Amino acid sequence: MTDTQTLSNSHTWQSGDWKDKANSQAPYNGIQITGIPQYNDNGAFVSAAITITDYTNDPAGISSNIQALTIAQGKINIPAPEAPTDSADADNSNETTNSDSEPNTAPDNSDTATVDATSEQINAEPENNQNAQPDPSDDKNNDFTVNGWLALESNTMDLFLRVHFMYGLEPFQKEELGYIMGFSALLKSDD
Amino acid sequence: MSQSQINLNFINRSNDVNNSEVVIFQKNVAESFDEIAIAWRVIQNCGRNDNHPFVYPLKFEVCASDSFGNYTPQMTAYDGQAYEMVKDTSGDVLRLASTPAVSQQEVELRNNLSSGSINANIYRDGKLLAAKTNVSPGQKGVFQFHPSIFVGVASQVVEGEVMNSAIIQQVNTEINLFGIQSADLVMTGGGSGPTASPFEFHLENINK
Repeated sequence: MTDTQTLSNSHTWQSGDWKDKANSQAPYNGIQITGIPQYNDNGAFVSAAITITDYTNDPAGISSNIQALTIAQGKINIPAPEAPTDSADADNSNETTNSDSEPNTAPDNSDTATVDATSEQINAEPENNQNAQPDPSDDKNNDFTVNGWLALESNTMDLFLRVHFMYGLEPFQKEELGYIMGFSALLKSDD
Repeated sequence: MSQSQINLNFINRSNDVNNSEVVIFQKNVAESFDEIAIAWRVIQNCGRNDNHPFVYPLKFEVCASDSFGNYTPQMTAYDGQAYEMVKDTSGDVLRLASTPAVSQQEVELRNNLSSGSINANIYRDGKLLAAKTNVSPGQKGVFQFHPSIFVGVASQVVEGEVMNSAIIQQVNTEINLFGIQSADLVMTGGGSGPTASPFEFHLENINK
């Protein structure tokens, strides 16, 4: 049983060079980022699952996942997925980065998580709170061109996903920065 | 109260010594105009440590010109609205269509004249943002913009005019503005000699 609700209300953002019909050669397309907010039983935002998919070198896309991004984590370097292997575990070619300690499930004391996510951490200053990401690996997928960070920031009502990264092929690397999507701090119920 | 505009403030904190011009534009994602974009704003003569405030309204203005060289007034348009060019007793006029745009994220400008193509123009803050030329009767110009701007240093760019693909290709910074109410858009880098570095842009003093 989990205390965290994962809703289907995902948000999707695409880079400015995104094409509905992909190119026939590299760069096949741009970047797509999907965010799925996760709420606790009290309907308070806990974290967001973020998937960054790079279509530069692979028409099927190469994805990097951050399972549970929270405000407290500050800026997080976008992890490069592992290089594909010949093993049968092809499914695992995408790197998944967990938040500090919380997997998808929220702790039982979900009220605490609520406070953390919605008020106490509002003033967290990502610039001063850069978290190191998992150890660089020699097995990184070199076709994944995204290099930069993302962070969750909040105002009193909502949470915003902030990014700053470079991607694409030299010499025409592109840069994306700013705020790309928002999540409600409180789950809006239909009831 | 809903937000009506984003207040942006360009600040030149670069080491530029060439009086460079800064171009800001958006891409119409409703059309596959990939290499065509119009210079929405060109910031000129903004010296070191100068600033240049400007607004990014969330609404648009649309206007059409017909094959006789007539231009309609600019009319306020919001996402999801459609305008149509029709012939009434006075001549060719642009009016709000009775049916909305197909997509809530798009603005449509339809040519409902019986003959003669039109040019469909869309503006933000009164400045030309995008255009579709030679819209035939029964056809429409469709405009959709993500809440983001492209910004870069360029030369020989004229505000309100189409930029060539070479310039567009060298402007590779996209600033995403989702949820922002105001921010400083700061330019750094530049300079001359061995210490010169590429121009860079970032946001400061962000109010969400």
